[in-house]
Amino acid sequence: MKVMNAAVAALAIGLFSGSAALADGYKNCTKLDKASWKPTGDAEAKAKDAGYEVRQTKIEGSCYEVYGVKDGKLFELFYSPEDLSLKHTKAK
Amino acid sequence: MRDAEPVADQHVKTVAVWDRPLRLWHWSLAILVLIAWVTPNTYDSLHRFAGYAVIGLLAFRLVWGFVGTRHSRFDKVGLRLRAAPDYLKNLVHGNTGRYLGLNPAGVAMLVAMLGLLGISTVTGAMQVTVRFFGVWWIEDTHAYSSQAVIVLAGLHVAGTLLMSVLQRENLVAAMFTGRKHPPGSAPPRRGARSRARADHGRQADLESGRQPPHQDDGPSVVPAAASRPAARVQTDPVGIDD
Repeated sequence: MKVMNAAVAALAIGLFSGSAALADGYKNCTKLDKASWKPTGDAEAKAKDAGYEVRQTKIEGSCYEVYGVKDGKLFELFYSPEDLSLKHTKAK
Repeated sequence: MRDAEPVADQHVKTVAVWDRPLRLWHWSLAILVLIAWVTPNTYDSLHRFAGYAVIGLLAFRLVWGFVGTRHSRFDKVGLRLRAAPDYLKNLVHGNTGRYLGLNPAGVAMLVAMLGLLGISTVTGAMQVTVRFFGVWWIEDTHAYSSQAVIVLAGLHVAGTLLMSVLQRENLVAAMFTGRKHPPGSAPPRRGARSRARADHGRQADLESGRQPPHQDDGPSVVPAAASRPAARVQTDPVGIDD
């Protein structure tokens, strides 16, 4: 049983330490100071212009993360608050 | 007979407690929860797979709670849930009633865990539907319930280790082998045993008024029975079954 306990402990430690190493999604869009960011509404407007139905916008790291639905599919759009360029699109 | 039969003549006497499907369920769930914990936002498909698999496991557990063997069933959940606050209070004072199956704190953990896992997985699945995508309260509920699951898992591990030490029974091993020592037969230290016995008496009064701590439903086993544990293994399978 000592072996099994050790195996469980090793598994747990491996996974716990692994979690720290994992990145938490896309979050680097700009180095610009937050005070100079363009408003979130502009990012949402851009998403709408691109044909997305906007559900929600969050700040993720230094990105605007816009939740958009297009043709029944789910997307997370990452815009730079600096120039509203689309940095990353993630299909959910 | 079910598999909760005392098995005579191993060098230390143990009885079957956790049936094989329950053990498999437990460790599958543990692994899937760990996977789900470390994969959100980064490994979406793995995260989703883990979530759907947990939903399957929850469904199995609900069925197994009615058709499984004695210690897998939900018969005593209500009773032990009501005993949980007093049990925890006693635990703070160092009194640990011995149970073969889940003790009241364990039952409370089971109920909380199943409930939170249900909330977490269902809101997680809702989050990726067109209807609920990007709906803030779904997302928040998923996040908070999931974090609560991890906190509970930590408490569960801590509680298991604590009880393993207090009652001198390797409960982690028991979840692999399915076997445990019947109450009264395990603690090898004489001093510890007599102290535990004294606690048993006190606890019996505190817990639901009448039951001895190793058996909180059914006919009471007189405290005297606890002083001859070896005999009870042979003659009183009902008494040790819980």
